[in-house]
Amino acid sequence: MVNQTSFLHGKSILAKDVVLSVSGLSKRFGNVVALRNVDLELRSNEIHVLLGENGAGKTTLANIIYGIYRPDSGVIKFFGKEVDIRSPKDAISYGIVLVQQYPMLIERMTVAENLALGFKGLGLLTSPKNIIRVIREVNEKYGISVDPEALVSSLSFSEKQQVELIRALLLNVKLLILDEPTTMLTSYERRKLFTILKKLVSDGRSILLITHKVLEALEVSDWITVLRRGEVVASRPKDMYSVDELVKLVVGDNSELGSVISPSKGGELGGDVLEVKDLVVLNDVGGVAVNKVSISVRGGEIVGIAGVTGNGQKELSEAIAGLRKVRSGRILINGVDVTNKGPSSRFRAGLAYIPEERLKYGVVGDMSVAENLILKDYDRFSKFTLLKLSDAVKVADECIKAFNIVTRGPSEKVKALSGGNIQKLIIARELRLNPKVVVAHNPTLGLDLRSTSIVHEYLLNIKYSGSGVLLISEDLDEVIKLSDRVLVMYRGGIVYEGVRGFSREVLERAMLGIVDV
Amino acid sequence: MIDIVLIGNFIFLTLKNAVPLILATTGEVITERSGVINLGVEGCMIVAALVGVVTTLLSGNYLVGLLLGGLVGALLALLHGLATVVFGANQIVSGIATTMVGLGITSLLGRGYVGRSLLGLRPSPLYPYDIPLPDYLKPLASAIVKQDVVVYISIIIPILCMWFLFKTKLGGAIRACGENPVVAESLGVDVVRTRLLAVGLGGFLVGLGGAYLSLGIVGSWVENITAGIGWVAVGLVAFSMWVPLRALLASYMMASLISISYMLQGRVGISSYFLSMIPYIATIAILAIVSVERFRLRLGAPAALGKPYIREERLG
Amino acid sequence: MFRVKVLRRYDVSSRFKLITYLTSFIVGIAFFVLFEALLGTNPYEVVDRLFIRPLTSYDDFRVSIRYTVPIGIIASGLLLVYRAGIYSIGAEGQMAVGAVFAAWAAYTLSLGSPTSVLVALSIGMLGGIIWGLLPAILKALLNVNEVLTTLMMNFIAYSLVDYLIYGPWRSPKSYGFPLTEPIPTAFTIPTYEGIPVINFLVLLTVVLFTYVVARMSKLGFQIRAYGLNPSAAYASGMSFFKVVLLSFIISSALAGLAGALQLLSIHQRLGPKSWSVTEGLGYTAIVAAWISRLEPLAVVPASLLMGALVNGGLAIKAVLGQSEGVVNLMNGMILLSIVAAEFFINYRLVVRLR
Repeated sequence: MVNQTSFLHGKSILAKDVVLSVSGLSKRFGNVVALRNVDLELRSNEIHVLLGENGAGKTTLANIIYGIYRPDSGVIKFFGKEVDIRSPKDAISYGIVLVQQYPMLIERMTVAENLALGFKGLGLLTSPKNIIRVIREVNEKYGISVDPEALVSSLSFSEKQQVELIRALLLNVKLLILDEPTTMLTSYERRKLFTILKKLVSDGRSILLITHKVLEALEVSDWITVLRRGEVVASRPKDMYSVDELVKLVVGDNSELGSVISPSKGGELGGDVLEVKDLVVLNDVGGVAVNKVSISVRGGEIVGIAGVTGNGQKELSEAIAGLRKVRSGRILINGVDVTNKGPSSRFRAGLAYIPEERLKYGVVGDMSVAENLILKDYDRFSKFTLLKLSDAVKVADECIKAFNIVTRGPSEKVKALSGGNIQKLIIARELRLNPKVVVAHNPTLGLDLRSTSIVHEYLLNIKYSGSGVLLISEDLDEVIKLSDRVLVMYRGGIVYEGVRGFSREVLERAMLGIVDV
Repeated sequence: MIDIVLIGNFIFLTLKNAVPLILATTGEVITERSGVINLGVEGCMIVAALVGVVTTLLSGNYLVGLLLGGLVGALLALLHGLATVVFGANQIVSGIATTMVGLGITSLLGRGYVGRSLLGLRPSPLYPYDIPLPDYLKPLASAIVKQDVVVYISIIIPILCMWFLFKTKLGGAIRACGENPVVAESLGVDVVRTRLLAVGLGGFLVGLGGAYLSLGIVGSWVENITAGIGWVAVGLVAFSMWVPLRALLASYMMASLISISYMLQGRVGISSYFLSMIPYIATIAILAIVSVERFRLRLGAPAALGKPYIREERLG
Repeated sequence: MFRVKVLRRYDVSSRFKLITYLTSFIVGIAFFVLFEALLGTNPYEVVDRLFIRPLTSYDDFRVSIRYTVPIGIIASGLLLVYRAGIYSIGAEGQMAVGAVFAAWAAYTLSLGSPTSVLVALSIGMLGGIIWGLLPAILKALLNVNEVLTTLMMNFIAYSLVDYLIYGPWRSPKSYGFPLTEPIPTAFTIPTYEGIPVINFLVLLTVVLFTYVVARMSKLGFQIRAYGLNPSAAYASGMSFFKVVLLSFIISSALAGLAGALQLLSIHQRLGPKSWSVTEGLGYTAIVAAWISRLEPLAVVPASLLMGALVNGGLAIKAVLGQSEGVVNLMNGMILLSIVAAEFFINYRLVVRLR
């Protein structure tokens, strides 16, 4: 039955082995073509990697197969039968489950309670505890180690991901789709995930794994389909690719996107623009999230903070931005003590903040582009207590040009903008205030490649202009690429500090709390 | 010398006065756990209070009145549910509107029933007999024993709700909707249906409380009979930290205050108009204390409380 | 089987919005008329009292305008707090206390007009502010639920008024009714042919004032930012304390002003429920504020409309022997359908056969 090399015999013979076949699939969003005439065949018992840059259309394709979007045209066949998947519910009933990039779990409930929600084998008035035995069985079979009675909020990112895998197994998944599952994982965790996935495949299930990492695709897959700008540019067994060829296929001949910024040492370092001393910050439930952290950033350098999600980065960045109370310790911006003062004292002292949750803390979505651009320094646009919006519109026009913000104009509501353009707007606003130090938390989260490189360029420009940058990012590649110094955060503390030239291996070990003395 | 009869009287009143508060607060806890604030509690209670009286008079059985009161409470709560859960309307404004509707309807329809006596139709003590105890214990014992059946049921209901919310799959689904409806939906919960269920179930308990107010406590229909009790119950929800058993305790606390202010009338040199302010002032105080505590303990409401959720299909 | 799809709308035209809101308003009224019909009232009579007479009869209009003014003044203040995402429903109590304070001024101070009126109005506003201050401070400092605290303050205000009219302020000449003495004539505001013209001019001034505050001022900008996204507003350095306190103070001052105006021009004495100065208008103003879509200038038509409806509702009550609840019920039904209408503006339904 299982025939890993059957591709050699041509398609027709394999008809019964094809689990999912997609043909002629197209999808447009407004004027943007997300997918153009995509064909894909996924066979049973294989890990099929969908490889491509951000924005190539991978997630759109996954969302169509999972019923989140409807295609404009094209046919999807599942086990040879044409299917019409209208919603995730439909998809699940066929045995198709999508594990999204971020765990979709209720944080303040236990693993068992989460998994019981969609589990058909439990009555409405029965205890979720009845599912624990089932979870343990699954754990044992696939080498997963998640405590079913643990609170989800106490789990690491990779454990949460494993909960999602258990969930898929409880739903009796036939085709498992994983969207960029490794972005937030360390090498160790990634290897563990792949081991589990291989077990799943050998157990008769199929996997569609989405990634933008070429080496990863070669490491784990049986078959690779390369997607570029919404089109399939290659689809073959993995052995039929070479690394160089694959990279070319992924990137295309767009040299701009492939260009790597190589940060030079820049100019002279200035004085300390941000000093954090023995900072202790609590998390939402009163536990210590940041434990005696000291950081200093000087003008003209980028200091990166790496770490696995949930090790205190969020609380640290919020404390520096003035959004979270500090338990003890001090924060100085450009020499001014702002420790438990509000956000306004911070930007007056010279702090710019690019928040992770840009829609929550960065912009007011229902206000216009112009209004959002003056959200912090509206005082400068007012006379007596009246606001002069006409001046704000002028500034907005300038910002839109200078930062290349794609919008219909200063009066368009910000919520109509794309993520990348919202981020450009926030950067435009923050830089207009001539900051001495910029704190950026996951500044490229969810952005496409082009926007990502634009954001990176701005961060480097800030450094060249003599200001300091604190880059708190869970994307290790980003940290390595941009930082002059890197600190690694683990369980609320700084466990490692290194200057440029750091080895990825050492950083990854530090992110797991393993520090060689 | 402490007057034992007075204490007995106080306990008796407190246990009785607590019933509408317990039922309404617990009901609102269930509703809010699903992420929906129902500020229509006052309206649901008052409608149920009227329906309780009318149907008891018609059927001759107060249990029928209680039950139908509960059902009508659920019905009015579901009107709020329709607006907020299905149509995603602003929960606060919709709740206020629901209360207005409740106050208006009862004022219109209740005119003919004002002062109509329920005669022997009111809930009667479960154990009306003399208790063989020494005199100094008798008032205390009878304060506890000579209550009607609803008083005891009202103690059991929060316990049942504890089990329901925290030990069953459906209770978990309700809590999931209150924490993160998007995730809940993706985990297989029908958020709209679950929230409507929580609103209806909560409304039913609120309605029971309202019906008991007219049947068990006042003994007849009076316009504006609730006089803010429903709003006080909403305040107690925050004080109970969204836990039914704490709602029970909070209700007894508030009921004891109400009983005290009631018993003080005519006994001390304070105008009864000032004494009647006590529950309202206490509610403000309680809300302030809870807020300080919440900041200290960082214990929060359901994360998605008050946020509408519309299951929308993306374009395309 | 039918299948209903919910699709988000983008680019909603203001004309479509207007039509949707008007429709929802009519739906609310229709439910009210239907309910009255079920009670056995002639629906034509209801429509006649609610709409036709207030629009066609000068006498009706004269009475309606008495309700329009306080509704409009209060709604103007409420829309500021609602824009900030603060749900104060304490206008009723603030209005009552405003009237109490103005009455106190009238009974104790001996001044000549028009100073007397100005002083009494200012003291009335002060009363409103005092009544709104506790919920405002609790909200600003501790984020205490303002819906509940303001409502509790309403109940306390009612008790306070009751205490005064049954107790120390009760007039010995009121034949046993719990009424206070009429206020001295120096403190009364004249009406012309029963129309409170001066009050109406005050309303227009207030509307202009809130227009400037809401649409053109820094405070209005901060209020809007907080209402639309409190996290981003806070992160941008705007002061929550200031926004809450100022918007609360303005709105409670206006409610106090409305109470004082009603006392000095219309009622001229304090009384219990049915004769009270507030007449539940503090709640009706909430409906007017939402009908106006929180737009300051739209408050004028919204309060004219609600004034007429209140008048019509009370006429139904009087003529058909119904109770106070008429207005409450109508208010509730209008408000419910208006907030639910938001859905049809943000989403559209597509019904398909499966």
